[in-house]
Amino acid sequence: MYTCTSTCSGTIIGKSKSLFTTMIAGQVHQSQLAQSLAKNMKDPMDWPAIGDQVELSIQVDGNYRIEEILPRRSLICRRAVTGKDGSRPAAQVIAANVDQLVAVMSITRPELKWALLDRFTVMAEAQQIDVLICLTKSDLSEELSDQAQAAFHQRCQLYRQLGYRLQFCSVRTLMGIAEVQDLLQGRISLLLGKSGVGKTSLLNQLLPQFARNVAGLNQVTGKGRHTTTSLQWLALEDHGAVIDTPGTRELGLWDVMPEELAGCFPEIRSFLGQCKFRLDCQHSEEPGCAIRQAVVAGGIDPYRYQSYLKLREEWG
Amino acid sequence: MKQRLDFSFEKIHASGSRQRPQRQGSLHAYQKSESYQRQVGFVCLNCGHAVPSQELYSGVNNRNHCPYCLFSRHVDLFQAGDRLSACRAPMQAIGLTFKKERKKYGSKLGELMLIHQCAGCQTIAINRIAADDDSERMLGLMVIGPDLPQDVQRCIQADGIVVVGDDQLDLVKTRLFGKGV
Repeated sequence: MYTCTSTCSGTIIGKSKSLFTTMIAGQVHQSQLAQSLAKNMKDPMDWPAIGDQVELSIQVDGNYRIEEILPRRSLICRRAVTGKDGSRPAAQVIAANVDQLVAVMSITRPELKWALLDRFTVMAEAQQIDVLICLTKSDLSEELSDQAQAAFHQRCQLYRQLGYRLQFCSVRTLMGIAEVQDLLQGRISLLLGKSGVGKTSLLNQLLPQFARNVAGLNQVTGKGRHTTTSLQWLALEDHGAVIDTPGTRELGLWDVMPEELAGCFPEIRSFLGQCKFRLDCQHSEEPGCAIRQAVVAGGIDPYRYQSYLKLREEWG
Repeated sequence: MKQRLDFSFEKIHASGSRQRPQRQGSLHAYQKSESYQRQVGFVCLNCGHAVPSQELYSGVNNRNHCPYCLFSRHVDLFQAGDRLSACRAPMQAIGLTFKKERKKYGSKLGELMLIHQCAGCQTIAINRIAADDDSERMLGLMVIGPDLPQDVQRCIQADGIVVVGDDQLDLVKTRLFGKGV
């Protein structure tokens, strides 16, 4: 039986099996889950995640025990990648209490996947947090053909019109680095993106004191090398933080119901309830669908509508 | 924090469905999927016939209309196969045309194609004919083609499509049935 001497509050900034790295009053300590709390952990989403605010008790022997997880402002999780055995899909928690999702996408090398960006924006919209789209390697934009550049700028303009902040940046020319730094201040940001897009390279420019390992693309496959292998909490000077993540090869949505998926697309949201079948419309083949009419009329981008249909299809 | 649609009530009261695992590969979804329709077949929107997609039946890589009633569906927007159109309305075959081929030794007139018009947004498109298309129905289109309404004819001409007329009946028959007929 452990004896508690006092309590304090802290933030989870790292975890490794049963040990949680916790920031308590500016100091980093290791803590464990209290047995009374561990008993009630039945779902992966119940476990403490990076960014969680927790109440801890200080034991006589000086150890910290997590007694309670405080209510979360937001929770970013994805569908865990299942093996070939076809086991039940499960949630994989990425981080909690995030204020801003930073979608890091490279203009080229590796190729920019707009559908993945749509997944990031849906994930953020479902949690009602802001999105910052960082387009890295902007110094390589001349590698794109004229036609590809025109299409790229058109898509960028579309996301700006939807209300998302877009920031071009390059760690080689240092273009846009200061602007990104300003946008990260004072809030907890989660960096997400494919492997090899330059998430950690960007962070090394913003926070050189951490000097994290980076690696170039694989010359044969043209893909990233999975250099960052675990989540890392990088504290900023003014109470903010950036959470660096390993590259995301695929991102299955979790905790987004099909009924609320349309609401996660800002341009579709304004048409909700105007269909013939009102909120029962699935916006795929129903007659009198206001959203399909808007796509045909040009009010909604067909690529974004296609993204919506693909995400909806995942529910079967 | 953004103030957006509040789904908290639905999340609490739909916890049963939330626990439901995200299904991947249910039969209904699979039959609706593009890959199923491309590899196995589809049900015609107009006549309800089950249409196989295999090249063995159609003689073309991409089956894009019903061989019985010649109806198609408006699914492509910018280019063939992009599947970006949200219209999804049936497309009726309204005539025949010849599409110029880039082949050096191909026919000077071009390949015989169907002209489709979308019932929803009136878009005009041309599609390759397939080996098992109803020939009688296609010959019937030759009669309808020249008598199309003026506005439809204007749309067709604007797209640079020339409708096959009665004067080309022999040529069309040759394309459909071969030279021996």
